Amino acid sequence: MNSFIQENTYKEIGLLEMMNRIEPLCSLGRDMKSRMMPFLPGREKDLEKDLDRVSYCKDVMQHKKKLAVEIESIISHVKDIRGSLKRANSGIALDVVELYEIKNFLFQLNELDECLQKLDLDISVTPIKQLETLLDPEKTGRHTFYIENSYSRRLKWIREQKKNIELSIKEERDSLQKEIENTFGHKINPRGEIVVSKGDDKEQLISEMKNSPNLVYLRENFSSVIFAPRPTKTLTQLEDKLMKFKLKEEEEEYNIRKKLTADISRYFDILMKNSENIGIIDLLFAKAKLGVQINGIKPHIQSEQRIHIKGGRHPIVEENLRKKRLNYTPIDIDLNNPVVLITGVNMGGKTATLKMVGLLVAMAQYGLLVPADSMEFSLRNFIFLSGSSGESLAEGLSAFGAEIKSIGETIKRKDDLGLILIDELARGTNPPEGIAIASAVIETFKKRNSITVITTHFHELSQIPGIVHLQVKGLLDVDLNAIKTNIANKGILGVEALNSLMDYRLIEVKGETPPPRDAIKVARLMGFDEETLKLAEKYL
Amino acid sequence: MTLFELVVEKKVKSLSIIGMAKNVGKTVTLNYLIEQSTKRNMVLGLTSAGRDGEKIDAVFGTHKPAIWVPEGTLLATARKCVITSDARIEILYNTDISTPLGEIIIGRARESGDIELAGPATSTGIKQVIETMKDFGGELIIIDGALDRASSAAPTVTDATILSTGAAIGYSIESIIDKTKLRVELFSLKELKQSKIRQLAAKIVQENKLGIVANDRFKIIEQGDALLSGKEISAVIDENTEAIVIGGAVTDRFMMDLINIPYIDKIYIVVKDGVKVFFEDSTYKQLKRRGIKIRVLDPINLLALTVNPYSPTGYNFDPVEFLDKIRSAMYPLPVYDVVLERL
Repeated sequence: MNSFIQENTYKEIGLLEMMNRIEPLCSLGRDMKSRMMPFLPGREKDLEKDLDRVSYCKDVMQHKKKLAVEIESIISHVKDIRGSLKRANSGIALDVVELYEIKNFLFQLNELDECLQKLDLDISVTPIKQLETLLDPEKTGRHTFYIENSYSRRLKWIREQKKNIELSIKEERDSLQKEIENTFGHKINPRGEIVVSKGDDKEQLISEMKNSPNLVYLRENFSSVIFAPRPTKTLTQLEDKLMKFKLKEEEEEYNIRKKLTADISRYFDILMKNSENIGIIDLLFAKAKLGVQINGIKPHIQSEQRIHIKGGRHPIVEENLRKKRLNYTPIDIDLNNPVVLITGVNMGGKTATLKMVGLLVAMAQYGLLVPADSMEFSLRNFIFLSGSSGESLAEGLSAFGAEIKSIGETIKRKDDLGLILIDELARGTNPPEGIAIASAVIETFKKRNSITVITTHFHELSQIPGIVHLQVKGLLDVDLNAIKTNIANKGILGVEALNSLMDYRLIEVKGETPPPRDAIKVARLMGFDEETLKLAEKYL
Repeated sequence: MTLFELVVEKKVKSLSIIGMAKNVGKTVTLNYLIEQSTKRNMVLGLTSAGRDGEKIDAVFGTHKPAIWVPEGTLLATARKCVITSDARIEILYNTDISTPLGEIIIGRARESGDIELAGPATSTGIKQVIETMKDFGGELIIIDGALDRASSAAPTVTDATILSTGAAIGYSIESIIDKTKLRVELFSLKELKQSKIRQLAAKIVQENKLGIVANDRFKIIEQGDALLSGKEISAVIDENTEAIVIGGAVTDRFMMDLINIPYIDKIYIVVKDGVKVFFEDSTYKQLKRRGIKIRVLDPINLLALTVNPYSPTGYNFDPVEFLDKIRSAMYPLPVYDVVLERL
């Protein structure tokens, strides 16, 4: 990966999945995609331009469908000719398939140019009419390629000679065949053999045939003797001549290919530029297509160190919920402070919100439309998510060990403009020490340029001055009786029940508030063993 | 009626030619069809199912298994074969189907000459090039197929199939007839009609695995090839088993393992097609006696048989007698000697 985002975070926030959904249609676009890099602080204008293009392409896909389909259809047939172009530049003669591909590329430039003329995209392709004429000398407009006779008078002459010789060969063969048939009364079969069955009456004939200058004895077995016609001197000469003309034809074709190749290499730069632009357009439309799928919008870039998302959605979480016929609540979140703390009930969507923020910022910086109603943000130098990940165990680290290691690395970049997302800071150790470490981490990040978002169940952390505290609304408006009725009436338990009773929205909490105590309620809604829960309530 | 007249009468648009072995006259049959269609001004399309590995001279690497094509013939062959072709080829289309010799190119011979055919190896690839050649005006598409495990897809995707047999496969007419008859029977295996079993069997075949169908469900037995697991499969079969499905090639040993399973005559043995089955005549007879029902997912339309009475090792039969004997043994399947036909 890169210094903007580590592989773990890339996967965990769902960026990998989003990237996999970007599917360029030709290898030029796929190549462009493989070189996609995030826009880092300082490149605001470039990102703005890129997002404008993607947003415009999304508009085209939605409102000029026919044109978009046409563009996609052209692009999906484009071949990467850059390898051939480089070969052409090295002075080699391109082969006929390569010439065919370049000819097609030229036609595709025309078609694409015609479509792009109807749009306001600031990337274009440049048709090369002169080269087109060279590869389609008879101006047939056909996409096929052949070294036609019209390429050189010599080629035409050679091919005519070739045809004449072939005709003479056929005549000579026919007459030889007739002569053999007339002399010996046997025909030549399609394998070019004469098979004579043995028999007392055939001995004379067979010996005559063996001595005939017109025949070659091939082999025999118990039942038959097999001969082949001996080519006449004329036939041999004709075949030699044909071979020579075939060589001449190949030579002349080579000269023509060499000349065409030289012509092509004169247009090397413009052909390469066209290839690049097709790649860019392909990737733009692929990004726009994702934008359509997730109902994305163009995020607004600003210089103030703030991330303000309204109606933000995590597409993967949303899709998974929809499959279970559950609702996803779009989240409003305003990160306008160096450290923002999110607290709230279990199953209240804290982690999902954290990942949503990470995903939307990452997508925006990769020039993608974001799934939200609106988003204002400033570019980040890196995005970091600390949270559950199976890989720590493989590295011989406990959850706590892994967390400490990764947050430690992030602290090294504390002066950088980052987006630091920490899921349940220091939860993997004893609460008194956990709170102490967490408080210290918050103090460290509080004075820095990064925007840090931390979810926690340590209510004490919300008391640290200078942080913003957001709380999941949770099951606040629901009393236990309502829950019980709900369970009784609908007979539903578990995630479904929670989903219908949970208010996932965030509210900013100022000053002292009692910590939410909803874990037992949630467990009850999940259908946890009632006796155990009753016991738990006694301990409270 | 000549072989070519039969092809025309049956309105065959795509035809595969399969040889029982080397030197059974498959190429002669192919040349015959090329010649006949040229005479009638039919636009011919040629390709092969993969590339016949046996034809390549590994030691000298010089011998090119080429075929002569007249002007106007459509071709689907690998890029490398097009570039090195003796026939001059107009490039019509690049299918992007990849092979070790480059992508499959659709071309048209503009100057007659020799060309090597190295077509797609998969059935989807063959289907695609058949359709593309039809789009470019091909009236009869011929696929040079091979009877080996690697590139056996052709007969199931063409309208009709011609099987070539000859003296090269046996020392007596009787043994040649027995071997040919077995292959003809395997090519004529009945299609599995039961749509539920069919659906499930298709899934197993798609994954090229071995499995069973029972109680409207399918189960894949193991990943290995059919060669090893005849015994293993017999362990998981009971009276509820509806079908044993073999995704890959079916061999003698595998079938012999199955023969003693108690319910085997109640169970369908399902294979993809008749090209994928390789067993001896004696095994097949035992299977038939045991009442085993072998069914295929993709049936083959066997149009005719061509015979070659000459063997390269020197064993020759009287052409007329050879043709007559095989003809009566194979009745009602049409049998031709395309060499005799011309005489």
